[in-house]
Amino acid sequence: MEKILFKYIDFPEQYRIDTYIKNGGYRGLPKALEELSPVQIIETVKKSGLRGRGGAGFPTGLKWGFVPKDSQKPKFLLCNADEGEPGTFKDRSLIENNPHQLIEGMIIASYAIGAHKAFIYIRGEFAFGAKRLSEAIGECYKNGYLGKNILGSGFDLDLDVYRGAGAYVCGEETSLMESIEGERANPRLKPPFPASVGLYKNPTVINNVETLSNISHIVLNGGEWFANIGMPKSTGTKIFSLSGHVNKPGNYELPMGITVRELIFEHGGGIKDDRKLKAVIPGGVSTPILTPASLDVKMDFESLYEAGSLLGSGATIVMDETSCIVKAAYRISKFFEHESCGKCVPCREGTRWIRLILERIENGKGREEDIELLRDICTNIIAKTVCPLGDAAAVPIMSSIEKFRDEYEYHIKNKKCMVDLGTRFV
Amino acid sequence: MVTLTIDGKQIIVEEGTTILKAAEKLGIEIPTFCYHDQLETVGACRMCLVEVEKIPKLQVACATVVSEGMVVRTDSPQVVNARKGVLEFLLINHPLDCPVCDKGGECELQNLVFKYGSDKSRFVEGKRRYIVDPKSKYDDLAIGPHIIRNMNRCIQCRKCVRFINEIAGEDDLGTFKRGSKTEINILPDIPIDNPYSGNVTEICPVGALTSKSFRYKIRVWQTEAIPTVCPQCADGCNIRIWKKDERIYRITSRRNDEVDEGFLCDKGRFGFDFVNHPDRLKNPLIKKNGKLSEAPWDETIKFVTSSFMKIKGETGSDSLAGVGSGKVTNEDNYLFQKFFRSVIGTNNIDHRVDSKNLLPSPDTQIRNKYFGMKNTINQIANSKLILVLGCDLEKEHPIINLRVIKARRKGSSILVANPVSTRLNRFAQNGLLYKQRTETDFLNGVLREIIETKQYDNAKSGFSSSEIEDLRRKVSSSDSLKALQTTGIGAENIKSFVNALVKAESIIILCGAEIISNPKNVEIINSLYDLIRLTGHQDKDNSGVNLLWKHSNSQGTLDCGILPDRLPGYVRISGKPGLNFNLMLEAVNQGKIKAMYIMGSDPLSEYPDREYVKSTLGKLEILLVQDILITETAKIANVILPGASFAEKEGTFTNVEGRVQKLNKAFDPLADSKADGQIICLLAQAMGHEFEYRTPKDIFKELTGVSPIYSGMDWETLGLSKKQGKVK
Ligand SMILES: Cc1cc2nc3c(=O)[nH]c(=O)nc-3n(C[C@H](O)[C@H](O)[C@H](O)COP(=O)(O)O)c2cc1C
Ligand code: SF4
Ligand code: SF4
Repeated sequence: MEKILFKYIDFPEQYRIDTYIKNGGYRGLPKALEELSPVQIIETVKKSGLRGRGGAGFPTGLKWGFVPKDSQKPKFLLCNADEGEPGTFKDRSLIENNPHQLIEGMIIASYAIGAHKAFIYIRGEFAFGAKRLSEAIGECYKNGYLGKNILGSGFDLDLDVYRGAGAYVCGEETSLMESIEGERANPRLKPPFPASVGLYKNPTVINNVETLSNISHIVLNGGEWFANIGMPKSTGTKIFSLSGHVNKPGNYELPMGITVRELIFEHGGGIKDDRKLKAVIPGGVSTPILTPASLDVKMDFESLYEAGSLLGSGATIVMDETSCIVKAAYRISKFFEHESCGKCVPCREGTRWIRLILERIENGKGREEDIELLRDICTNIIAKTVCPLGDAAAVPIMSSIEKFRDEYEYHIKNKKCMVDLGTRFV
Repeated sequence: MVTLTIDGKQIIVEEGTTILKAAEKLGIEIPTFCYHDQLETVGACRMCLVEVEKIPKLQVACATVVSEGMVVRTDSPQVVNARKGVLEFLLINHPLDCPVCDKGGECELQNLVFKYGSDKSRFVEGKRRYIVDPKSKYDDLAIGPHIIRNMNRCIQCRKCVRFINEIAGEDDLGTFKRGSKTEINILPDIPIDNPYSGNVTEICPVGALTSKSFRYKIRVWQTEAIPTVCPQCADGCNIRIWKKDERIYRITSRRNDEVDEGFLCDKGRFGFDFVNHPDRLKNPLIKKNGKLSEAPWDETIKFVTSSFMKIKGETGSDSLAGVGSGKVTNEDNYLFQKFFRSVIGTNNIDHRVDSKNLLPSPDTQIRNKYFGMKNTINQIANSKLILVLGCDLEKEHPIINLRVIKARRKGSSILVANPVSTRLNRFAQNGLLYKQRTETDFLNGVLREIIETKQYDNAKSGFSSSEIEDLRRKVSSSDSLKALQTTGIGAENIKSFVNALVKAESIIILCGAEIISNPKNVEIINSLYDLIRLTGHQDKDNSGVNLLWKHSNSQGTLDCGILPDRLPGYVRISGKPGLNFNLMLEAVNQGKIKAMYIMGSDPLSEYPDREYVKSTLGKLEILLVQDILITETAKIANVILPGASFAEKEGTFTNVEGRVQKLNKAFDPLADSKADGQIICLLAQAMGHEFEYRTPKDIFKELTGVSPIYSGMDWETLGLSKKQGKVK
């Protein structure tokens, strides 16, 4: 099938405005501004069935519709380009190679929600991406796509790039707002939701890079066109960032609902050195781990949820038989301990505790009761924190115990890995 | 109204109420750590998680707003387990050093673990430590002159940082690093040293922030808490004195939302040294052969009264004068004026020793415009615009200053005009600096701008067109225009100042010492009244001109008739008024006044012309000073009587907004000192007058009978309950 977002991803100089236009860019925007009212655009996006690509999969049109129309307050559109979820590297590619596709989507989205100021919050490390975006924005101002009276429509929009403050949690939408406001990136309590109380307490929509990159295509080709791609409730294509023990890691734009097997074996070229598959993390490290038994699960929001995991950001991490699950869990726990913002008790204290126990088990000092203790700690975190980072920290550990309990037990009893590659101990 | 059920009990509450508040009404306790009703709700500690029917996840009670038909459980197994989980998380890294922790006995963590926690530990890993000095076993760190931090005990509720940011408007305490390494700290080498810093030691639920002056001196349960009122300024914060035997160990807030909202300034919290000071006066002293030497009470009383009687007999009652003080109680002051009026027989009574420019006394039994506060302290936070004029508010009225910051937080505009910049200027939309003594010229410029640009509210001002015209002529005269040049404030600044004023929906003006003692005080105040009228705010609740007195009982001292021309309750003197302090000094120099009794005031330190007072008072035959320390004035006295400190007596203070609040005695007067009122009684009795009062309560009762503005007030409920006396 034809790619949407990645169609021109390798096209030389696609990042330039004239190349972008030559390849069919900036067609959705004039249509939106000239032919559609904001309400009609929201309706189109609703009809498309587009769901957020940042992880939670919230219906985009619905989110836009929550912005109060009669509010006199300024409204904001934010693009979440913090891309910090381990395993995820799709937004970076979209930004570096096709920045105007994102910007066009953002102008349309701003028009739809009535925002005259938008920000792209880009992960601090993405220095190159930030430069690309700034240059692209400069081209837009020069060519009348940004600034006052865009394309003579009377609509004004200013767009700024804001470089991230260097923490995974900055990607959580409310702490991202705190960060732009110059505060510590600590998540806020919800409700109130950003659509009513967001950036500087004003109505705000926040969307992922991939989500917004889809907008111009949806406006241009209609909601139905998009809804016909993929699955009934998970429409469109998805960019899967495939990594780990596969022959051809990389970003793959595929329709929603392809199977895990297809992704790994057809597109990813199979497991490296023809080793056996042990586990797949389908949506970035914060999603529950799957075993080879789930190879035929479809990769969309519903199917993965039913299979006990989540689509998340679509980052698929493949682990073959040489991987130690306990060590992987330990590594993941280190990440979340490091990235917990420290605001709420269960996440702040629990992530450290989990890491310490896993470290002990890794070091051959595990105790039988540690497994139940780990599960208990996870239970005390899950669904009890301010933001989903707490869940993200506990859920993978919990699922690794559920699915690979024998490896934990082996580790504890034998004080070493089930898969012995000789260098397991930290 | 919303009806909901919590733990099977139904309750109807107002819309917008949180589950926490609704449960509180039912008497159901939901434990919290990070919640504070004066701070923004953050829902971070997760201690208050409760079950709400139809919502899969547990919800934070502190932030979840009730809805119709909501069914809440605070005692289900899920909730109990979640609570246990949070407490376990909080304890795993906690040093559990309760035996050597200063918070022991009043620690919220200790209390909640006792109530809801587990008795077993499942944590076998190494505890997190915040090492300050690798050589030290204790991780204590002085982060400011008053505060010691021990991060190991911190539970990260961040109430300290939030208080400093949100309430005090400061930024010298912050959160550093993240995750399990998160730390409460100051910036390197910038100690937390703002006037409200001490509050964090009280807000901190655990022993992470403790007070340098209190720590390790005593365990809290060995002390006794006495409810009383702060003596340091006129705001009148409600406090507790924590004492054992004859010593104060610390002072904490006794929250009163009408006054202090639960906060104190550092002066009030830490500045009680004087009570247990080694230099306190312990015995009466009489000057003999140029040297002050100790004398027994009976001898001293006899000496004083016979001297007074002799002078009265030789040159008449008006050869004596009395100076009271805004720092002693209403009861003391009431007796003082009664002593002078009925025993000595003179109206030479005053207390205003710090200014040559006295404001006219009220004409009736109620306040006039040159008098005290029109608004309440609470109304300040509700005003849309606050103009602070001639006042270093943070220094003079720290707690009122917090209300102004609160108003700012709520979106009000703050205008500040002073001869020098004050710390409040940080929050000011407009901070103007006028040259000293040009207040009237500056205000004329403001009025002129309003009138000439026709921005006044004609209808609401109540001014007739001829009145407006008169005012216009005055403020637009060439003299006024010329004078405006001398203020140092440009036309543009006046314009934007006026712009803010005319836009505001309400205006509260706060005037400090600089205005009260200003040579043109009357004129300034009249201009401010004109300003309030022109902008149409004179009849509004959250608007008005307020003069902020200085001392803890300045208001009460006025109310009690420590004035040469008014009796208690501002009842006019029928005959010739007595002399005010300035005139007293003249009379001393003319040889007309021969004896002066100064109670609690220190003119040598307070009067604008020290040398003049010193040489003048030196001419007296008898200078009797009654105080708790050897003041500058006491040094030149012939007789000194040792009074008792605020901690050693019962009585009432009337704060800056006219609220009568009760002081309670923490312990007996030091050594051989006596409460001021008691000394006055001894003097009066020695002069053959009855003056029989068993306790200050009797005096207060008499005062309420005599003074119309205090009538009906009830001693028993004063200060200790919400029903505090409030002068109308
Ligand atoms: C800890 C954490 C990190 C997140 N990081 C990102 C991120 O890097 N990029 C992103 O788009 N969304 C991230 N999210 C999700 C956002 O909070 C938010 O749901 C998303 O940006 C909404 O956009 P969407 O509706 O287009 O998916 C993160 C969420 C959490 C809890
Ligand atoms: S769950 Fe973790 S990251 Fe999220 S608010 Fe709580 S401590 Fe911060
Ligand atoms: S120091 Fe005290 S008040 Fe501050 S965060 Fe820690 S426990 Fe809370």
